[in-house]
Amino acid sequence: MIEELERAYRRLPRGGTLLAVLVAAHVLLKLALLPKVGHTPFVGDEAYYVDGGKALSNLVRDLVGLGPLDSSELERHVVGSGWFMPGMSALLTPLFLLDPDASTFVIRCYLGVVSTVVLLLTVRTVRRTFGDRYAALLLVFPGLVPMYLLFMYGAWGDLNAGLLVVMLICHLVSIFRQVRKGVGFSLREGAWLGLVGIVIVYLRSSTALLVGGLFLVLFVALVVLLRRRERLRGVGAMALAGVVFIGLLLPWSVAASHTLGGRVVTTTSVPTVLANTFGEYDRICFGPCDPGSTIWFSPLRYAREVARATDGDQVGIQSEMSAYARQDVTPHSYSRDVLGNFYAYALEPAGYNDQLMDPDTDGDTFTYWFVTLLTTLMWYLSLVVLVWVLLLATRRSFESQILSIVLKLGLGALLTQPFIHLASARYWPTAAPLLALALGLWLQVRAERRVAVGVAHDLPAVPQAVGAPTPAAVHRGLYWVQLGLAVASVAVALGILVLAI
Amino acid sequence: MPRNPDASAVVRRVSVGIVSLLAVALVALSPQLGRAEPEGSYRPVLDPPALELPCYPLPEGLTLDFAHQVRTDGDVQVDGDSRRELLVQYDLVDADEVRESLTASFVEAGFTPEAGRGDALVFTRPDTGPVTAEVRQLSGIPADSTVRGTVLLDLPSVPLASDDPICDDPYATKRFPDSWELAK
Repeated sequence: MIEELERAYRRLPRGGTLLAVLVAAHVLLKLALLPKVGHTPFVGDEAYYVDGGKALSNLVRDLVGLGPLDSSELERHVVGSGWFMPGMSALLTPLFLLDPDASTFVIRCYLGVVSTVVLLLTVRTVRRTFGDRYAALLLVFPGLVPMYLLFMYGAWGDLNAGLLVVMLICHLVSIFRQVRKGVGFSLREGAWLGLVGIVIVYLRSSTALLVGGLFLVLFVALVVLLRRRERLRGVGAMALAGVVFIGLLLPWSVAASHTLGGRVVTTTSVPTVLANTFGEYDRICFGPCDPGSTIWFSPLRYAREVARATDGDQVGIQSEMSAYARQDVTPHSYSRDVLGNFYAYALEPAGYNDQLMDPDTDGDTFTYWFVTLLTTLMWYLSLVVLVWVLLLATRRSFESQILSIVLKLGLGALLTQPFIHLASARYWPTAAPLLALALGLWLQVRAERRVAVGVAHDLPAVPQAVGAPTPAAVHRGLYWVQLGLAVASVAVALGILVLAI
Repeated sequence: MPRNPDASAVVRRVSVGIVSLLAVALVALSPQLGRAEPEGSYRPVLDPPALELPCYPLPEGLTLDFAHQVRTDGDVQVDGDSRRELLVQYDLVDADEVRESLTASFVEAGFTPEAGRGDALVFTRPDTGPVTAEVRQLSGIPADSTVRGTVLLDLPSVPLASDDPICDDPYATKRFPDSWELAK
């Protein structure tokens, strides 16, 4: 097996060279697209993140100057309506410290540089964890997907959150490798895990389910697979991860709850999101909302007006509005809306090029069609890999098994979005880098099938692992976990389809 | 991977040192570089309640003494006459309490109650003629709902009473142009 693998590898250029070429291709293509997106005014939620960055830079100025803090500015522009967590605003803060009046072009260039740095850091982590092939795949998909490159100049947090999710997955797989040998992980690794987790949530709060879910799975694995001192060590490290996560979440939760007068953990948007997605819009404001504005701002203004009239809290009122608007939701209407969301989420990957490029000047140009067609082609191919990885149940190697499980959980958690939220072509960049790992796994499983019937699982036992489940038992268990997750995916998909008919 | 781990560690330490120094310098110098001005489009300042504006006042002396928010205001044509139709939602109390409160407010403002048509309350005063208030509880709300129902007031039309620029803002006065559509 090793010889055949080595022969296969010899046919490829050296990993480092290949990666350098791909990085150069990524940078060149990204620079080529800059003129199309650099001057595009901020679209929708981008305006919040930019304002938040400006307000945070003023906070730093006030702290350094020992001057009074402008808390009303922070409340209005950083907490805002509590719709978003300020991860991207924090990322923009250094720019506004240096250039408080930065132009749109400068802000977009800065975002472009930061996102490429995050991509390269992720590639480095993937290379160390899974090797050159996985790193190269990440640089091709999504690193060379034109629409993804345009999004890299955007102020939304979805894209950077997705890259950090891949870093988190690398970290988890490294930990699982140790756990499999019967060894726990250190407090330092635990703290790092918690830190990466909370940064992801700050960048894109809807990933909270993914981060929380993966932490929970790791915790269960530690308890099941480790024994005695190692179990205590692992649980201690996991507890530290939780402390770091919650400790860094708290300042936001406290500030947002205090400002908005209700209990806010991550964001306040879920009730309005559910109402807009599944409810009847002309009931959200206990009747029609104010005309002339968006489905997001009109209900918000109404909630603020009711809160002022009743001395209540706008967060609680938004929940009441949502419940009233959703009274007539049926399984049929819900599943049809979910299908509509899936369509918007996954089947129009270049849907945002009209927003990020100027349709009047760029609408029918070569670049426009290049971006649209190449993005659509690459994304649709990746959807095949998505379906494959959700259905995969491999017995070949521990490496494949664990990556298969983590990817199923990660992608499954990200794909809950269409079940809750009006979807759009803006959300797939979070999932895209996970699909690069899925593609790598596909190649790996293929190679494993070709070269061997089964890969050995009998690692030499270390003294700490006495009493832990045998490698064969773990191997069987991981197979059944994959099968369970695959069956669950099929059941949910079939359930939604049947209900929608 | 670099071949010499020691060299890699030195490079890393030097890079971290340079980045940290730059960051400290940036933070220390930032107050001298001016102040950023957020635009605030994502958290507009809330307009004052419509009936507290000087734009389209209620008949003199009349106040609504229950928690409420104006939903729409505007003139409609009824039998060739222009009438003011003001739709208000009431909060925290139920319909009976709102009817009692409205009756007390109208009486205090010098109106005389008259026999109503159906559920509508009718009051009259020489300068306004008859005015009506229809109170409707929302159906399908929980007992502790914040918003409980609507009051539709039929009043004499009033001209714009102030040149305050806020009176041009439909979100403040709740007098929306017909061309403004409900978001979808």
